[in-house]
Amino acid sequence: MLKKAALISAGLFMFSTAFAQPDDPGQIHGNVNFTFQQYGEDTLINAVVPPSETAINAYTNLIYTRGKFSTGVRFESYLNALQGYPPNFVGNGIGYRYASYKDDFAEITIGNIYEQFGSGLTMRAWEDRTLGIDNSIDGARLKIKPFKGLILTGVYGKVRVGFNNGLVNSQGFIKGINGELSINEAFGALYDKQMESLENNDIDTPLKATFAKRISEMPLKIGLGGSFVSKYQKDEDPALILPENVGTWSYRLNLQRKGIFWKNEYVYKINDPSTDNRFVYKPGEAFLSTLGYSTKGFGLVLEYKYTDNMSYRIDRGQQLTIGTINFLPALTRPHTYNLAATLYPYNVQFSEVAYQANLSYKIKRGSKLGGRYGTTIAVNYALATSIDSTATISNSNPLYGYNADLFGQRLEDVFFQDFNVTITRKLNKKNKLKLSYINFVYNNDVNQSARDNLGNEVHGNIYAHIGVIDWEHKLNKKNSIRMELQNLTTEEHLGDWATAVIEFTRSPHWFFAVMDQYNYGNEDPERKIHYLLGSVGYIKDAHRLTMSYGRQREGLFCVGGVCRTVPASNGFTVTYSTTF
Amino acid sequence: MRKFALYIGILSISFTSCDYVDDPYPEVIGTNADCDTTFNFTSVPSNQRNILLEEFTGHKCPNCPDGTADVQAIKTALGDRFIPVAIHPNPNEVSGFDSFVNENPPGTGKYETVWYVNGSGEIMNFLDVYIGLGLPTAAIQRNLNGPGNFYFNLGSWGTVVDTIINNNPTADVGINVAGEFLADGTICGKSEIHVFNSRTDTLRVVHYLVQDSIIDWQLDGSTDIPNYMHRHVLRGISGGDVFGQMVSYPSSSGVISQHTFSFDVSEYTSDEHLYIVAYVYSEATKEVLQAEEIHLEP
Repeated sequence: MLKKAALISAGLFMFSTAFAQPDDPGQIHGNVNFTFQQYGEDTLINAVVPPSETAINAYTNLIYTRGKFSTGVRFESYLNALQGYPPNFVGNGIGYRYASYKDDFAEITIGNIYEQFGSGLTMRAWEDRTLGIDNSIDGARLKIKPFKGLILTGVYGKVRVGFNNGLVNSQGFIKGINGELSINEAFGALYDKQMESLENNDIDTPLKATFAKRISEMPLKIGLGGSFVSKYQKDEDPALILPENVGTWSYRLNLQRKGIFWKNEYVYKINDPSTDNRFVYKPGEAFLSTLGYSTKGFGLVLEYKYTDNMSYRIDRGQQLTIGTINFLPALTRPHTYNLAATLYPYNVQFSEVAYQANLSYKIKRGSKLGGRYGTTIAVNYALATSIDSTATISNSNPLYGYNADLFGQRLEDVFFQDFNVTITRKLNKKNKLKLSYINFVYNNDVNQSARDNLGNEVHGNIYAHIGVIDWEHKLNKKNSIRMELQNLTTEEHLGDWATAVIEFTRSPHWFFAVMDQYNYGNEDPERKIHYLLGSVGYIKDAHRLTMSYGRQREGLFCVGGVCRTVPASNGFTVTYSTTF
Repeated sequence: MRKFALYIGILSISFTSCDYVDDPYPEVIGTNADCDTTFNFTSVPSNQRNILLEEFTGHKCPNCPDGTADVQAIKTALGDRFIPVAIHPNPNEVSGFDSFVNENPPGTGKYETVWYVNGSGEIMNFLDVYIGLGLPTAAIQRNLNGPGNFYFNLGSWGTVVDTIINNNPTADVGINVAGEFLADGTICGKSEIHVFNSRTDTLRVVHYLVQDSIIDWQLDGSTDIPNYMHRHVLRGISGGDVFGQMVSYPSSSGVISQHTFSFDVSEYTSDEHLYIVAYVYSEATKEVLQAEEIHLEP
């Protein structure tokens, strides 16, 4: 394997020399990251101990740039992968490599590519190693700028669907094209061109130039965009005629004027029967709109999303986070406090209507309410509901699924609701206080992550209230202490919970933390469990080493609405990361 | 202008990369073209849970007649709610059972019948067959008999069937099945799957052709029995596909999914006790949710 890595690196280096300046030695950047975990038995929390008793996820990126050329590789290691990590990460090897050349007109990349069209509803090739997502495209990408203000991107390749001692790609492949046009920049370029013509005594030019200048300099900034993506997968189903080429496309309009911005994207996908949608042939549709305003001390963002049947994978039989082509953003606040983040995280659905409002306001410093240093209030409301769909029965063909009108929704079928308020105030030079209240409505028939004491799925809505006090105190120039007290109350699941965190930091190198998550309201006395976790960390320059020991509750781990299951564990964990 | 033409060209190529499917069902080869519309189901099927027992057996298996006797005892007690299918594992697909199922060469006068069919060994592979598993054995509703083990030993079958019926008397799924003999020597049929309760797992439907009461050789202990009655024998799997057809349904309840099937029965005559067994199982757990059988009018 190392031999293979060396060969690839040498090949890429030799390729780079062909494009680079002879006197430019180039630069190497990269990072290293590993997480080692030792698992211990703990029957009280049903901790899973793998046969190997230990696991490690590790990777290192090496990026070499020389002039207009860059190349990179990533070595990955899963021996074995951490418990709960997707099953398609196995062994050692190279999971990513690319070579790229870029100048003012074009950028060409061969190898693994990360790319996003628009908001990602048509295509997003991305990675999140904590979630176990890596759906990079293995092929080629060409980006060109025919004139100022216009960028065209084309991609063609297979999709990474796993790792087994090396890259595992899909059988099928995708092709996509994307265009982004800034009207103002384009007219600016036109103006420059007209001015050049003026020097050649073109009599119409002054009028055109004036118009172009006016458009380019107007305060309203207009952006247009469009994407088309198609995937190919062979039809091998003897029982159904499956579409081998499934296309999806989108149109985008972005407007901005001073502090106001408004972004819109509409997406359509043709029939795409898959495991995700129970093999219905109904087309998919999506609309995403974001309206925002910000000024000094005030910010407001309103978001709306409609998605219907928008799962889009390279392999119609795949599930979980494997082989996704597009990305469905979650219109929810990503919580960081332990109870809010781990107990009821929202898992984005392929069909839903979602809203989110984010308001941030800073009360002026020196005012009665704002205090000496000012006070920030952040309010967030998020709601996800069912679309309005009507099941197709009897006479019509059930393979076409159901009827749904764009924007139609069933407000009574709430998937998830989150209302939260956070007040942050610096009390004095040494103390800072943050108070939060979070209210969840969590439909577990949809999210399916909450289980009772016997491990059975809880049905219906779970209503939860969470209060958090987060206090930070500077002891002196070097030392500070932070304390979190959290409480959650609910009657529909495992009862009430509390979490206490105490963290001591000795700058610039050390930190120590203890966290206890306690299910004190569980009706079964034997299940009133403490999930105690102690951590110590050392930081030096770009190096960060953390060691922790303790229990971890089973549940969903989510980032931006994309989730993976984390089993209960009790053991020792070491993480290390550095960049260079 | 040249650049513009290039971009339009790229866009045109892209937009042709869409396959719109108007009719998802392929033409059923060898059967009446009207097959899938011949049958109109007017009633909602029962949600009373039926039990599918897949008995793995062999004509040279000395203890297998004991298995058949047990199966018949359960059938007598439960009637239509119990649907047994005797499966002779195909030795070309699964190893370990060759001595029980292999046929003798023609002219030897006994055990010349080939009982196994395409897929009959794959079923055992699908159900995680393991080394050391003997015959007879049975998968009952494809419930688990311990972690990763779908097989129940002879002697426990009646208890397992009773437990399932008592604990789970109703099913989330109902099946209507209909079929007919066609002049071209095929059986053509359709099943209609009703999903009564909201589910989120992927469901699949499989159609078996089964034949009952066939007189042929069977080893019983150490005795060769020339006129043994073989019961509920698997004769074919629709499309040769042991995994079956995907049941298409949105997550809401009350929806219906229709599936056609056909079997070449030109070597049989219509009164040879042929019938159809259809069952629906969950892809995630392999558990059979519901099964139905229909006997065809000659």
